[in-house]
Amino acid sequence: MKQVLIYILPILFSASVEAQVQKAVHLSPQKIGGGSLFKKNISFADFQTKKLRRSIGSFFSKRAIIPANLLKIEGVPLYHKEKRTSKDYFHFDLEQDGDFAAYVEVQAIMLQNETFRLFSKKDSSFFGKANTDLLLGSIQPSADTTTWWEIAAWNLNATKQEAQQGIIKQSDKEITFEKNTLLLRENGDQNSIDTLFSTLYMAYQFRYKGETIAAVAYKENDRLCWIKKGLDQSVQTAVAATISILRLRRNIYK
Amino acid sequence: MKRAFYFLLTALVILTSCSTPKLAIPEQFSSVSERMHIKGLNGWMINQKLTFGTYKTSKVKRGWNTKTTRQDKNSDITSEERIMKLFNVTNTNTTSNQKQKYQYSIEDGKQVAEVFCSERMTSEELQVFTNNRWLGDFSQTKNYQYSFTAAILPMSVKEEPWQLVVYNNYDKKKDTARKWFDLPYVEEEGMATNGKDTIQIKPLRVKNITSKDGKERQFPVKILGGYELRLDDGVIGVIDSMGHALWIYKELDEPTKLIVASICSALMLRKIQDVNG
Repeated sequence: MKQVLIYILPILFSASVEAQVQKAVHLSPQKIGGGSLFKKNISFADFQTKKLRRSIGSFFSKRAIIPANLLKIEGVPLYHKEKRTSKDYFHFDLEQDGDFAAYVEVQAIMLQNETFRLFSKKDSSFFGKANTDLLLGSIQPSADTTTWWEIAAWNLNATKQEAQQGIIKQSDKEITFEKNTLLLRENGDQNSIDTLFSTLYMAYQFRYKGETIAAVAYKENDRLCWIKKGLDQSVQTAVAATISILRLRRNIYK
Repeated sequence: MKRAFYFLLTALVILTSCSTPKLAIPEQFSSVSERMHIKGLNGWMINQKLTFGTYKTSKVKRGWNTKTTRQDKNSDITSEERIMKLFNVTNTNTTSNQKQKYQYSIEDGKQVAEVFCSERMTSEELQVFTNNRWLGDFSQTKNYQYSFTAAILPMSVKEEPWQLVVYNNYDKKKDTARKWFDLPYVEEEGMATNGKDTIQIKPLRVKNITSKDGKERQFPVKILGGYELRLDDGVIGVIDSMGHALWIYKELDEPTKLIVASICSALMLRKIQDVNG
């Protein structure tokens, strides 16, 4: 019965949304170094992160004990409720060409609230609708310590069938980012023929004043980011800090 | 599983018909175009060369066809995964990357172009281990991105380099296929441009094909039969990937014909096939 259900149930849960590949071949690609088990800090273009610290609480999660979860027949659950709180708090310094550029603080929280009932219609909470998946952060640039950039992002752990997106804001400046499939250049070396090649990547696309100004690969394997040349210094720092956040954050859906 | 079915079905139809199927080209286009059969696609692949019509390629230099697979923590959570988690079924998300590069030159006796190509396929799969000998283990594609890109450099002072891109993008969450014979929704597009002119490359998914004896036959599902090349909203060429042929509009100027021949040879020499192709 268990195996039969595994095959049948997924057929009922699917949604259709229109897809669209975006083209951003004007951005110059940059390799991302570090971010490994032995070198946590990352570096890309002129930027590098330093003093990355994560709170101990980020490695644990809190889960509610729900007695009804014991209702099972031959391993098949009749009812299951998952209530769990996970978080990821971290901060780091961002340096540009060896000089301190910004201090970045991030708080990500995931409140999981999923309910499964075998013999009744699956409610929206089972699809992650009732989950709270939020990332909040602040970027304090060294150039102007009085004006901070604020970051808010949601659904970065992709538990909901909604866009994975966020916003970076400083008074009247507003940069948005969203996960998309983008056509991007593979190589930025002007002396190489590869600079004429464009490839599809799943990436977070950064938009400022209606224009794509940067992107960072979504997949861990694709260690690349793309930044438009000649950006305003303040915008460039905010984008570089957010790229670092997106690469350094942990997936906190358990 | 659905794709495996299509593959088997297609193979069965092709095998039972015992003849090479060809794309059915409309009379309006075939009467004003020239058909060139592409030789060199089958057989010994070392020092591979293509010849069609007046065009011939140099030996195709290929790089390594590399494939890497690893688990990826950045993955969308699907309903299937939620269910499997409830039922304690072991599953993992793996992302595989496959790449290949190749280059060659193409000439028609008067003009030459250098062609540099790169193919990349990234696919994310959900692998499920049922621990049941009857059901076995299975995997499901969550998404894939296939891109083919090429740089065509005509060896003439006047000509600008051309960039060619053909891509397929599939995301299971956005798939609209529900019925047994529905094809998965794959976003696909292709184009070649030199900055001034743009040739649109449209994949041709067909049900009707022409068998070797000239009879029209029908497949139960649409399959990739080739590509249509359009310039300024007019068809300038058709690549018949089933019949290994290029149909090229007779009235085209020689430099554009060379670009069309370069696009055709670059597409036909691909090794990493897209899932639908």
